[in-house]
Amino acid sequence: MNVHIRLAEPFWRSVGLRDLDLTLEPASRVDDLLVALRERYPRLSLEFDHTPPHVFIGDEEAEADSILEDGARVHLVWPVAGG
Amino acid sequence: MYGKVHFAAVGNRKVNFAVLKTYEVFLTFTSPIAIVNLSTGEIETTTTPDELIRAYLGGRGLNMAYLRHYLRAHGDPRNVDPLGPENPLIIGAGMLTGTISPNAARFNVSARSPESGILGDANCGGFFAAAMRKAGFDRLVILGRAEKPSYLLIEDGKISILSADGLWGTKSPEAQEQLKARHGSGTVSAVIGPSGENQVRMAGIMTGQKNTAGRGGMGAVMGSKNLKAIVARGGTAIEVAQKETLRALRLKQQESLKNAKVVQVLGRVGTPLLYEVSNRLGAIRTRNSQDNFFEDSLNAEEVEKFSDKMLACTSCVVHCRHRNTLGGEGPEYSTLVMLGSNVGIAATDQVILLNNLVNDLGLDASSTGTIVAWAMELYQRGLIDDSLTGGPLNWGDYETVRSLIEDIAYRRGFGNILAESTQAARYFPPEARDYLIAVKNLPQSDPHDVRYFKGFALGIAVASRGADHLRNRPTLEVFKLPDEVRAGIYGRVNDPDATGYKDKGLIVAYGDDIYAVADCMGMCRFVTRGFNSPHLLGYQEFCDLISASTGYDYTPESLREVGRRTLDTERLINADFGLTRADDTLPKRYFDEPMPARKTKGHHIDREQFQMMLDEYYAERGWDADGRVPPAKQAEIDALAEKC
Ligand code: SF4
Repeated sequence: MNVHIRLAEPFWRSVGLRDLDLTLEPASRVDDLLVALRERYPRLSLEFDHTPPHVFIGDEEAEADSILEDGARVHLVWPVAGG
Repeated sequence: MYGKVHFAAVGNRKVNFAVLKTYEVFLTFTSPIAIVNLSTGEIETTTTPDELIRAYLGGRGLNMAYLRHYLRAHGDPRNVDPLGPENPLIIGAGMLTGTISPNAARFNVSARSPESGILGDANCGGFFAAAMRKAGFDRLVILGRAEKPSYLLIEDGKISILSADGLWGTKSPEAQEQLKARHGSGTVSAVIGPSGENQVRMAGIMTGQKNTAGRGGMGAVMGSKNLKAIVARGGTAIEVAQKETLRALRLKQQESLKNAKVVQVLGRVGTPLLYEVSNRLGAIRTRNSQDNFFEDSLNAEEVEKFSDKMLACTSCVVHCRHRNTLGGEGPEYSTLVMLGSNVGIAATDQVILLNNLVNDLGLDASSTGTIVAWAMELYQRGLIDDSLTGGPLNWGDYETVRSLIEDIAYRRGFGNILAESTQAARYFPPEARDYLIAVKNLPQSDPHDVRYFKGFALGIAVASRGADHLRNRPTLEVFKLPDEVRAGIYGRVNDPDATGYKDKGLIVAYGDDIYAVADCMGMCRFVTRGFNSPHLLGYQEFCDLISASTGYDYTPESLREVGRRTLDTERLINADFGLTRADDTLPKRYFDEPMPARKTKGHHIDREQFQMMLDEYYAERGWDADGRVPPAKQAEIDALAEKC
């Protein structure tokens, strides 16, 4: 299945892309997606080590075990909210 | 224990330098202060009593001590007209401002606010405060009103009152350029723009293109005194107690700060970083908080396309400020939202142009964006019409917003009404107040719709100057920190549910105290622990910097006590203005209207639970159930006030 991923600041800088698509096994979970991203983009993996992303599927915040559906739109954002 | 006292001439006055016996280092921090009476032309110079320095350090804390003193000198502070000559305007540098301590750039400007009618206090960065200290003064208390437009020149420990002929009427950047031409390129000024001259209640004081002492209308107070500018010139290095120790601390702390991810990211894209995160959540103030998300066109990388450089304040290791290619500096996240989504404008270039406009005119972007959006909603709802506004006020109409901002600054037409900020309510039907996003008559400072994170809501409800995130925002709520880490920061285990109501008094009180201490020291929020990261400088690092810079020794606990005392003093000032527990509240919309979309959908503030948060907060602060400072604390603060 295909998943569309949008990387927020600063994650996208280590990939050079704001948006990318990944093909995953059916019924993959959010943690599978993060593992796949880590494998493909080692610099992004370092960013995740430093600051684990908040993961949104559509408008909903997802947990590590949330199941992804084909065509899911995933947004990985940095946890910050100052002002 | 302090030993022999030396006297040395600094400018036209004597300053005592005591030698700390144990370490044989100079205790140089005497905090020179000038009391300038613009009505009589008299200028008195003195130093700050040691007890006051120990109790409040400098910056915001000492300003509060002096503000309370001068307001009370008139009997009932409620009789002080915020735009009258009797309102003291106090400009105070942080204790470490101008030293090489990281991000020690800031000063506070305090007075009775013409916008809110209560405690007015604005914090500002840039280069002015360091220059003021190097020119000989840590604090100015400006009283009276000059007969004609004037400005102050501070150089080498002397102050002159000069004519502002040729300056009055200029925008902020032009005024600063003219002053450089008159007094030399090394001159640094704090000025008002046309909005301050016209006593617009949300006018700030500007230094550089964008640094603004923005909150509470301090620019209007300056304008009411016929004071266009304060110019600092002078190159006396600020003496520190232990130069080498301070240098070593700076290097060590700089290294650790540069390793903090938030510092790296702020240095690359500035605060616009926050827009996408809040927007994804559905926590962006949009169309006066009728909506809670907006266009992606205001994301950080869109702003970056208009940025050619990142700039910094004195001694900063972060460099968070954009120089934009449209003729100004910024925008910050706050400005992006207040002059973007909050008024329905999505075009990045238009928002940046509005940012530059408010800076040139010397307006507080937060209040301006809130008040314009409020008027737009009133128009949308038919509560006001063309007969008052002079024409349509439609969301997203750049040209209307641009001309309205100019009209506010020059008090023309409907702009003259909005120039009254929250007090414009008297021109509108009574239900207009239901749509005003303000607390204690101060428009909300920041872009975050606080209905989701309950600690954010409590924070703006209790902030001493009115709705403001920089007084106490518990930003660590966003991180899913382990219990033991939270307990280490806040002092005990606390409920990690950021959307719940429990333990929010604890975390807001923590923010209150450490941010107040940072303001007293002159340190920027972006290096202060708790603001966007748990890895920044905390009480122990602050103690080390104070000791090396001034010779004063604190423990983390005694330093936190300075924060508590500052908060207590502010509470007492507001009590003098008649504020009570009932004023620690939120805009009606935040209670009664659930957030409309995205992850935050359905969230609002429950009135009963809100009262429970207030109870807990007052208990954390050691205040009584009505939010009053206990008599013993008041007696201690009253005794300190005798020293002012
Ligand atoms: S982080 Fe930004 S606001 Fe703070 S001192 Fe540096 S440039 Fe100034």
